[in-house]
Amino acid sequence: MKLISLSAVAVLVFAAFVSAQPATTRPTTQPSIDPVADQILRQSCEFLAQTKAFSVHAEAWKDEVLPSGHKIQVTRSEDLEVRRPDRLHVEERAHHKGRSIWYDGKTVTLMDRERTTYGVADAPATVDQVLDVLAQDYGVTVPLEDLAVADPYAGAMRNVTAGGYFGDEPVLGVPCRHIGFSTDRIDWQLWIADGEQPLPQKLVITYKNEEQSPQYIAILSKWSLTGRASDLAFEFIPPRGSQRVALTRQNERDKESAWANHESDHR
Amino acid sequence: MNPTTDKRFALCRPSPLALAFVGLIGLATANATADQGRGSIRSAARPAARSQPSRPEPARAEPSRGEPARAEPSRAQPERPQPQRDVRQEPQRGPTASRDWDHGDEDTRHFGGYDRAVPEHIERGQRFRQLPDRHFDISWNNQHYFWDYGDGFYLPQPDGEYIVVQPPVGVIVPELPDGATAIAYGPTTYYYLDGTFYVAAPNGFAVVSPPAGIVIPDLPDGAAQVIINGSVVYQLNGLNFTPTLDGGVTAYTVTPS
Repeated sequence: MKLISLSAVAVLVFAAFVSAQPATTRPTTQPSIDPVADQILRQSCEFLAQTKAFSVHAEAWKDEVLPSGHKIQVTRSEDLEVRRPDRLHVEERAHHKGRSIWYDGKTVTLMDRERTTYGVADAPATVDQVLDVLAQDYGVTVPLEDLAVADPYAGAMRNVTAGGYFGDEPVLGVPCRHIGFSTDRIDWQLWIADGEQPLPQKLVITYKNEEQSPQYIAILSKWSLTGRASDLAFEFIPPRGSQRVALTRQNERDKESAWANHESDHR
Repeated sequence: MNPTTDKRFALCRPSPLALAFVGLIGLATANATADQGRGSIRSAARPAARSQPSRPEPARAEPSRGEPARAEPSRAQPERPQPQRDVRQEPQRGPTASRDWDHGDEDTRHFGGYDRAVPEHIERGQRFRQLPDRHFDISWNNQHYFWDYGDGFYLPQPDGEYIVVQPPVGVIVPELPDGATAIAYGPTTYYYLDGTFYVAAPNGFAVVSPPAGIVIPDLPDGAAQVIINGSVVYQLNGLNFTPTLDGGVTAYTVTPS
């Protein structure tokens, strides 16, 4: 009963704080984070950071808001395989589609499994760096990348303005502790297993500034903390019939736009 | 009479309900950036990248119905739909971010199967004895054409049949064909479908030549694979289509051959 009361208070405090914040401005006050929520997250992140190699499976759902105003949900599965600090393998599948990433410490390979095309680029020295390069240089965001970085706590808490602990709830039968945090752009919730291995079991991200506040929901399962640590898991072997193509860098796209601007000015 | 082609037209006849569904799904191609950075908390802290254009609302005015099974093309002008607004003035919707690796989803290659709503595809060079019931008459450079509101552009033949051709540059169609993908390039928003590029024009959408360097999501039908300097390139109608991985999704850069 005491736990429930504390949770209710935390929810109210969290909701009051979040509702008091303008959606598009950075708060000038210190973040209001429930220390219990912070502690739960910190324990999970420290446990994850100390895990040298792991793999996890996720079933994920994401909302799409059509210009007509209809909100639909699409489904995909994601598999993440990490060996710290410099190995990463990601597989993402949906109906007729598939995307893969291999990072072996020296190069990163992206593959479009639908078209069996792949591109290879030189890569920096760590998983953290390659995730940033993929996002900033190649326009590729890796789902669940928060689990793969060296310091998951720092990555998750960046720009957080509020946080709360919402009590205990099971996820697929696993007793979990439910926490939630807020930034200017997103609200995110995490269900973390309550036990010796405090691993995330569910993630919900709400894009609250977007029309109809679409969500990304992932149920995580099949955690393996030994992982397939062999180098082979992170090495790309081109499938028969696949084509190597160039990877378009985002700044090249910007140059093209600039070129087009120039051309249009002289027509 | 070719039963196959007749069946095609029968299948393609749009009901109001089907049009509404196609409209709903077709519009989904516009929101090609709605998924940016999904599934990552860290990505929310990264600066937002450039935005993609949205597809304009297609006009859904019902055209007049032509007479079925005509041997000769009708010269009667159907009711012309109202001109579209300038699409560049359409408000942007959705987030502003760059294309994501799973963002085949939100264009015509959407995970959710949006491409199923694209009307049945017609290949250039196909011949038909009948026009689809729903068609539009277009005259250009002293030549008469018929357009089926999709990617079918028909040229009447002396034998009374109709052959599907590439829409000539300069032609203006009253509305965008279903399935056209919006592509921003410099100050201009192009709309692309199966090798044909459109831009907004006062009375509809004009067929134009693509600017060198524009990136398209799909190859046009009939593009032939060649090897240039050891790399795969596709060619059609004097254009090269070079495959690249753009945002983790296969796309094709268009340049003159």
